[in-house]
Amino acid sequence: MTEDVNNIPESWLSALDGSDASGWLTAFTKAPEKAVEALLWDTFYFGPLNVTERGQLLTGWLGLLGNRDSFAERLDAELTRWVEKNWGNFDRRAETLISAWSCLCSVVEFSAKLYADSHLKKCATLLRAGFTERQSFLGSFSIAPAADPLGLYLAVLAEFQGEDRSLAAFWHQMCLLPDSVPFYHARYAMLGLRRLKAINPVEDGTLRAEIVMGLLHLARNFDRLVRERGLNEAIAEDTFFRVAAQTAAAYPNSPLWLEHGKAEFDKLPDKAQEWVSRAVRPFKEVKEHGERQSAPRQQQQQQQQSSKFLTWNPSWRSRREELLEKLRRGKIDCIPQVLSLLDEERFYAESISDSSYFVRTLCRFADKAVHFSPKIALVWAREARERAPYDPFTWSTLRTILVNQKELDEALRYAWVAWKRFPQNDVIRNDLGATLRAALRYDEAEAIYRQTMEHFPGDPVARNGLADVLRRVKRYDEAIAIYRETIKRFPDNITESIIARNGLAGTLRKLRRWREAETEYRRSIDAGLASSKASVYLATTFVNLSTILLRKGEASRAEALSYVAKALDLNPHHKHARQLKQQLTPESDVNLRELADEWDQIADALLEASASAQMVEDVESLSSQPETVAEPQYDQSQTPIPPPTEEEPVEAAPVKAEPVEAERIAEPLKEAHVKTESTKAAPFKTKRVETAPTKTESIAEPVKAEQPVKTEPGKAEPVDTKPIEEPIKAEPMVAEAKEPESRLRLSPYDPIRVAALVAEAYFYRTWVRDAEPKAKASRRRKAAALLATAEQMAPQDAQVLAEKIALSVDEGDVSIAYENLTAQLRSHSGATELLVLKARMDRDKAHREGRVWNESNLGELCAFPQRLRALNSSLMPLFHFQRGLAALALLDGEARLNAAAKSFTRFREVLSHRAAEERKDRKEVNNRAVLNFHEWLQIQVDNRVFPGTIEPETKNVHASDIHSLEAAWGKRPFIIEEIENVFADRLAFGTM
Amino acid sequence: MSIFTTAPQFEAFLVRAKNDPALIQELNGVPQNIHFIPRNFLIEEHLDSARATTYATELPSSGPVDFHEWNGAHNEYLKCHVFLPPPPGHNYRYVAQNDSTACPETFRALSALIPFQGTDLDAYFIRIVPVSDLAYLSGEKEARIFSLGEQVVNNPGASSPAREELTLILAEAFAGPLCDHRPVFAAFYEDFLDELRDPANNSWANRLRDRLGLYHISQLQPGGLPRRVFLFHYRVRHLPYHPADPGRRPIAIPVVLDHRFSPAFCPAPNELDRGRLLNLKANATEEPAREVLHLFMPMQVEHLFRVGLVTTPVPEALAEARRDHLIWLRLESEREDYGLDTDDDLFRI
Repeated sequence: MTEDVNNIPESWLSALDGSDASGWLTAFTKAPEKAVEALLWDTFYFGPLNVTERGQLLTGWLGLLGNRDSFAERLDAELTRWVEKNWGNFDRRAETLISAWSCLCSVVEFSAKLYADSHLKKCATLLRAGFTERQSFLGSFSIAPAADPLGLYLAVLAEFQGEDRSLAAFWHQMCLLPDSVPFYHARYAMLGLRRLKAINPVEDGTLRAEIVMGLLHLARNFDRLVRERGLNEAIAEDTFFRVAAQTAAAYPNSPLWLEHGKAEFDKLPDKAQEWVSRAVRPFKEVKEHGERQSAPRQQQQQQQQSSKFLTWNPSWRSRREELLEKLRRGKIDCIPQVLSLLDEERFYAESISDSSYFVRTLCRFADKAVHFSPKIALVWAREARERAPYDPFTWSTLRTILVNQKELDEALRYAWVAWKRFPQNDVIRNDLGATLRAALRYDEAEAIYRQTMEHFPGDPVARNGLADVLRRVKRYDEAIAIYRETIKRFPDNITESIIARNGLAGTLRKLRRWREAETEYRRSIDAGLASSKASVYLATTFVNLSTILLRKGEASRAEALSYVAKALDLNPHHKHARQLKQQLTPESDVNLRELADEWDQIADALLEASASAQMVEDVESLSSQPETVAEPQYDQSQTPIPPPTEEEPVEAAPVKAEPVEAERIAEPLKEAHVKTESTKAAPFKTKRVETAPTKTESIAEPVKAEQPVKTEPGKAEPVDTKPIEEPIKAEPMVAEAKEPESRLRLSPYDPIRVAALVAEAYFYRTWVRDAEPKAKASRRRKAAALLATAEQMAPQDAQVLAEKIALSVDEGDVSIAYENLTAQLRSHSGATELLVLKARMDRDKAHREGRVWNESNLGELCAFPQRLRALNSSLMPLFHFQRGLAALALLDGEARLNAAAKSFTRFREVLSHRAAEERKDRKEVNNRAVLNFHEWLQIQVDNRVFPGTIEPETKNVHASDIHSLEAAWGKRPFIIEEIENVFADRLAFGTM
Repeated sequence: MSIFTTAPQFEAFLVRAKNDPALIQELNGVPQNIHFIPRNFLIEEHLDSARATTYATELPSSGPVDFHEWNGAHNEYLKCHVFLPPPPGHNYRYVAQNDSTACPETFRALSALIPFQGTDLDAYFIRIVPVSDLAYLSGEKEARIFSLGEQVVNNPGASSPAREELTLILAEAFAGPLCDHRPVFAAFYEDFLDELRDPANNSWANRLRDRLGLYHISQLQPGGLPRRVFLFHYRVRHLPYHPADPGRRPIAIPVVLDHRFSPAFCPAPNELDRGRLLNLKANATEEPAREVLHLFMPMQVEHLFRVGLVTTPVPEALAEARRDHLIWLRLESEREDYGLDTDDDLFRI
């Protein structure tokens, strides 16, 4: 390397046209670490170029110098060092963090457009290593489209995917724009999909189905955000248009637009269709022409436009059901067929950017596989949750399988997080109760079940769960009372009535009230025989009835045997029925009373079996997210395939395969999964063809640096790359600044573990409401201990901080907590949990200080609610709620009451609108019973926050209602906190 | 006495820095001109006292140790109070004056605003934007953008693929993740009629660069000359406004706190109701052009007026240009002592 007097290599100076006017390159040459620090923290003065953005200067230098005299390599090393040093640190204010991380990420992203030897690959690799922490770190101060280091970080990941498809499901999920994904991240979702390596190598460089479908999903979901979340239509259209037009420009007029997307396009709502048509010419043409075509012509055209890549196989559904049935019967030799089906569905799911159907398949197979190979079941369940974390079904399945494997700690982690993430879902809540029960934590299980009953008064499962807990802790009278009430209140819910009756019978049996127990068993059998769905419990009930009959002596032996026979008719493998049959054979000289005593003990275990059967059934019935099936593209003429149902009967005592056999199958399965994980869906044994060099090398699998990046000549479809305008000749890399690969590690923690600790701490903190002082102190200590553990793992995590501060407040350290919160918000400016807490504490402070009502004071108290509203449009109702509460926190005057009433009315109206939209969507898709978030929240708000006095239809809250509401809330302040928290939790836990 | 008398430590720092030899010396053969920056702070007269207070709170209480620490603190102030990222879903057309998340401090103090009313709304502003800036903001190639600009300017009014493409690029540049909503510097079209009269005369870009004081659009940039530029022009009425005051447009006189440190800036004295642009060309006969700041507005294809190349270098030392500029300011404001305490050395050359 030749250097001039300022140590700048001559090659750099010649590329720069003579001098380094900014002085930064000189500084970089002399002390690179210091220069990079000064640049990123924006303390460097760039001389005459100081008004130019530093990111622009740095990308300009990188573009001009490339890797001349190892510039790119040295820069990569220094940026990597900076990331290592600063990742996870919140020791500066948010604006500085935003600026520094945005600058870094934009430069790394830019480098992907250059020749391979200028790629800042090492830094990109390190950033990728922080993927699980992205939200808790960068997300905590990403607040707007132009203050969005998290978005630019995603752009880095998108650009540097290379051969690695492991983020495919992540990009697909982003296209659905759930509330935890800001609408302006649509661009990164599409970038991620566009930069993915094709599943099928022959598609590399072409317009792939997953890109088309991703864009159409975005259109549909922008339309939903406008309808349901109040996103301004013009903003939605502009944002979508920019993303769509850029994508369209990369594949102008490709026939594949229609080939892949025509059917989905036809199903889009009108507004979304218009948006797509505006940006993508082939859709515009088809929309204009299509309107003049007759229906049969359209149908014919659709068939002609069938995709050669999309291969929806109508036989998948029947094959799935067939294989599930085989697994149910313990025929594990069908596993290769299961694997094959999963591969086909996985391929299809990735092709069309929609995993919802495939995820259901995974869950259902996992659910069956758990009985003969829990490890395989776990692999499938984990894949399902990773692909569809927004679907409570996947969380529930994973938890169930972990419980089945006795992995209770991990099961509890998922149960706690899901409990916070899906407050609207009673199955998820009952899951937590059941897991706590399985962990013998009966006090906590009781509390969870009682909470569930409060939030879901019509849910019999929680009642049965609670009664079961009470029975276990020998509070028999309470258990009996709840069982009886359940039977009385839910006569139409045959399954739960039977469970309640069986539980009741078991409890009566414990109390030696044999006759009453017998009566309940008989009623249970009568009800079970009348319902095919509930017959799953019958075998066990028959066994229980027969064992109770034994107390009547020899005269009952024949009747008891007849019931055992019925049990075996229903389930020939029923272990206990077979055992009892053997014991009751006429030649056996067993003492029936002693036998009855013995079976009293076993009856408890049988009740357990019944409970686990129920858990499985709960999982099966869980579906707040509709199972939608991406329509086959080539088969429009056929009868539409209805959404799959989840009505498969559940076997109480499934047949177990021999362990040895299960393990034999498990090994290749594990291998298969590992393979799938690493390549993510390459199921077809297509011979890999030579393809164009990728635009960027994978951050997982580096390619040779000398390889120039060019658009491949002769491709039918334009390659989605931006050709280098003025190619810079790549020079040999100098390994001077090379870092050992082992250093490329952040110290990631498991966000699920941390979130679970926070959720559990929240539970203990709020579980003190009606407790005795001693119990209160003990629960707070427990909460503090959990938070201390979480803090060790993630000291700056916003969830941890918020819960810790909330605990301090509850313990009375209000002023210190307030100061701490204010300080944390300087760096965590986008952390919803902290912002919600701040709004609440501001109100409390104003109330304590006796501040009077006026517009200025109200405006001050609304500063943080406004910030929340600006942050995410899903928080709009929360804003109105908090504004009403802010008005009430101030003193005196009619105006205060009027302002509060107006805000609460608006809150209820917005909520009602969102609930109505969700209800409409739910009914259009599958009419399932499980409520969506706003539907559920509306009920909570109507019943618990504004009970009685309010007009249910108009949602009006009058100023005259306010005094009584204030009085009610004064007695139950936690209700207010709960409502605020569920909004924050959905976003904070929604990223897990 | 400066506007920063309430922050005496800082003021003392400014007084020391205005003649600090370390800030005058050359770097890599290029004069740094840095000492003009503290001088600007000392002579600033249009700064609202509330802003001065906010600024002082961003500085170390004992004053900056050196120029670099001050530069860091200054940039931090800009990020927090001036270069604001708009909230999601923000409509740039309306900015509430009391909205600290969207309205830069520049436009929040009433005293900082120039009322534009009546016929003033039909006045035209102009603004030069380096195409490299658009390339950075949009992620597109600079040459491509320039070529599209040429096609659009040569075929104005017609709908064309170039126009569509450039529309998309500009939308991406100004609504993309790298574009905050900082105040926008603009000049009056009528001050440049001479330069812009003849569309065939390609020297307009060089002349405007000089008169607009765009020191950074020069040979000093990596890659040197020429530099591609777009000239946008637009009516005052199209600018964003405060919703409570739709008849006026918030327009401010640029002060030292509105931008990153630039030695090519010089604040206007109190007597002048517009800023004045430092002409980079020494001994120029034109009086300094007026400059203002307005709220962020995305430049659109409709605003594109000229495309051109800056081909001439700027003088690296700014002392002469600054001296001439101060003479003009003294003349126009009838303040012979303006800048006397700070820049007297320039007149002794």
